[in-house]
Amino acid sequence: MIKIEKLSFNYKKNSPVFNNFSLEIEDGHIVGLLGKNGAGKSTLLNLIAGLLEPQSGQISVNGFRPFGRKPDFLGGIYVVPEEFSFPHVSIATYVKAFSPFYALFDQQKLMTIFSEFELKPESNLNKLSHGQRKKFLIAFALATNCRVLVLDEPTNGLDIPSKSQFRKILVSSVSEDQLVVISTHQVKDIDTIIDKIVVIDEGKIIYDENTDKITQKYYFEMVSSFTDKDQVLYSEKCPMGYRIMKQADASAESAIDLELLFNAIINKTI
Amino acid sequence: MNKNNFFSFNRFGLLLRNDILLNYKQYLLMIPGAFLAGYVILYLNMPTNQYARDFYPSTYGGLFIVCLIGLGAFIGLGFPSLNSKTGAQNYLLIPCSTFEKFLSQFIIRIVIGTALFFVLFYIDALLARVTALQVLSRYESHAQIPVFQYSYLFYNMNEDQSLIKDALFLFFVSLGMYLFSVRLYFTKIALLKTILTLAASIIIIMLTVFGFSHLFYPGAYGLDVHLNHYKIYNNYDNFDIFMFTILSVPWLFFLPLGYFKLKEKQI
Repeated sequence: MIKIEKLSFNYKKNSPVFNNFSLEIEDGHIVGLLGKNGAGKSTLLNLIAGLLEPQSGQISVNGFRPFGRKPDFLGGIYVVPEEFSFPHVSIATYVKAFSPFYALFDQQKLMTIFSEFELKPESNLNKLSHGQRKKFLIAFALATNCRVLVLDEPTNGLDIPSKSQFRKILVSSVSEDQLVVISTHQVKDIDTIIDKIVVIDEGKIIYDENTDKITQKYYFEMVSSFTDKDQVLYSEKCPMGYRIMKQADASAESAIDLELLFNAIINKTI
Repeated sequence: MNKNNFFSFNRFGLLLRNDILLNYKQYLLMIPGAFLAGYVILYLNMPTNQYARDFYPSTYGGLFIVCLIGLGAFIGLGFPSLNSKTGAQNYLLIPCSTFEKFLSQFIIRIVIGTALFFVLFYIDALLARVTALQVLSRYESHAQIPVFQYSYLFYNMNEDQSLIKDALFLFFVSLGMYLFSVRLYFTKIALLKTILTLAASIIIIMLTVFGFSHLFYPGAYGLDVHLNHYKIYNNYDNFDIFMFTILSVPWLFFLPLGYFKLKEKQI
C-alpha cells in the first residue's frame, strides 16, 4: 500500500514539483500513473522508491518510510526505471548476483517469462538491444514477486509484439496482493491492463478513479459523424471519423479509450 | 532499534558475493596490472648499469609512497556504481542496509586492497632486486641492493621520533579514508574531484596559517609561518603535536562523514 500525505518536494533552486500532494493506493491494483512530460511522474516514483527525500509530508510504502531505505523495505519494492545501465555480465550472472536479495524470487517464473520474451540467460546484457534489456528488467521485476512494482515507462523501446507480450505477461504474473504502478505517457500501451488511473499535472492529482467506475460513468466509441454535440463530452477527429466520449447510460458499457480520456482530463472537459 | 535492519551476516555475504560476481574480471585484471606497475617502478629505480651506486634502504620508502598512489586510486574508485545516475539508482535499491553497503566497500577497497598492496609490493621489491642484481652481475659492479623489509619505510627515523612515525602512518590512513569517503559527495569523475577538493583544502589551511602568522606576527614576511615554539612532551614541541593532531585525527571524521553521505544520497 502506498500512502502519501501533504507531500512537498522540489529540486534544488527549482520551483516545487509537489506541494501539499496526497495520494493513497491500496494493494491489488495495477495503477496507471499518467501525465504530460514534466508533470512529476518520475519524481513521484523516485520518492516512492526512496531515491529522493521529500522536503515535508509523509510517504508510507508497505508501512515503511521509503527514504529510510531499510532492507525490508527495499526487498519489498522493485523499480524498473526508464533509463538503466547494467554491468558487463551475462543475464545468468546478473540473476545470480541479485536474485538472492529477494526472498520471494521465483526462478521458474523468470524462465517462463524469458522464453516468452525470447531472452537467453547466456546473453551479455550490454550486447542486447535497449528493448531486450527492458524486457529483461521487466521479467526480473515480475520474478521478484515484490509487493510493490514500480514501472517507469515500461513500454518505451519495446516493439509492437513485445508491447502485447508485456501486457499479457504482466496480467498473468501479478498476484492480488501486489501493487503495480505504471508510469507512462504512452497511454494506449497500458489501457487494457490497468484498473485504476491517476493523472497528475503540475504536481497535482487532477484525476483519480478506478476503471470500473470510469466505464460506468463514460461511454467511448468511434463514429463517422455526430450531431448531438451537447451529449459529447470530448471528441477527437480520426481517419474513420471521430472518437467520442460521452456520459454512459445504464444499458451499455464500452472499453476505455485511455488516450481520449487522458486528453479530456488534460483539456479539462471532464 | 531492529538490529536486522542495520546488519545481517547473510545479506552482507550476499552483497560481497554480488560485488565479486559483477566485478571479478576488473579485479582479476587489476591484480597483475598493479603487480607489473609496481615491479617496473621498483626495477627502474634500482642500479642496473656499470656506473650504478648502492641502493639505499631509505629509497624503498620513496618508492613505496609512489606505489601508494595506485592504492589511493583503487580506494578512491570505490562505490563504482555511484558514477552514474542509473548505476546509483540500481545500487541504492539493493535490499541491504547502508551500513552493509558501506562496510562491503570498506572491506574490498581498504582492507583487502591494502593487504594485497603490501603483499604485491613486497614480492615486487624482491623480484625487482633479484632481476636488478642479475643485470648488475654482467658489469662486475659492486653496487649493493638490500633485501626489502617493511621497517625500511621508517629507516631514517630513530626511537625518539615514534610520534612522527605514528603521525605518518595515521596521515596515510586519513588520506585513504578521505579518498574513500569524500568520493561519495560526487558522481562523475569522483576521484579527480576528490583530489581537487583535497588540494583546495590544503591550500585553504596553508593560507589560514600564513594569514594568522601575519596577523599575530606583523614582522612575518611573504609565506613565512611564524609560531611560538615551546616544548610539550619529551622532544616534541607544540608544532609537532599540532601536526600530529592535524595529520592523524581526520580519519575518525571521514568514515562517519562518508557513511551518512551514502545514507542520505539522492539521485
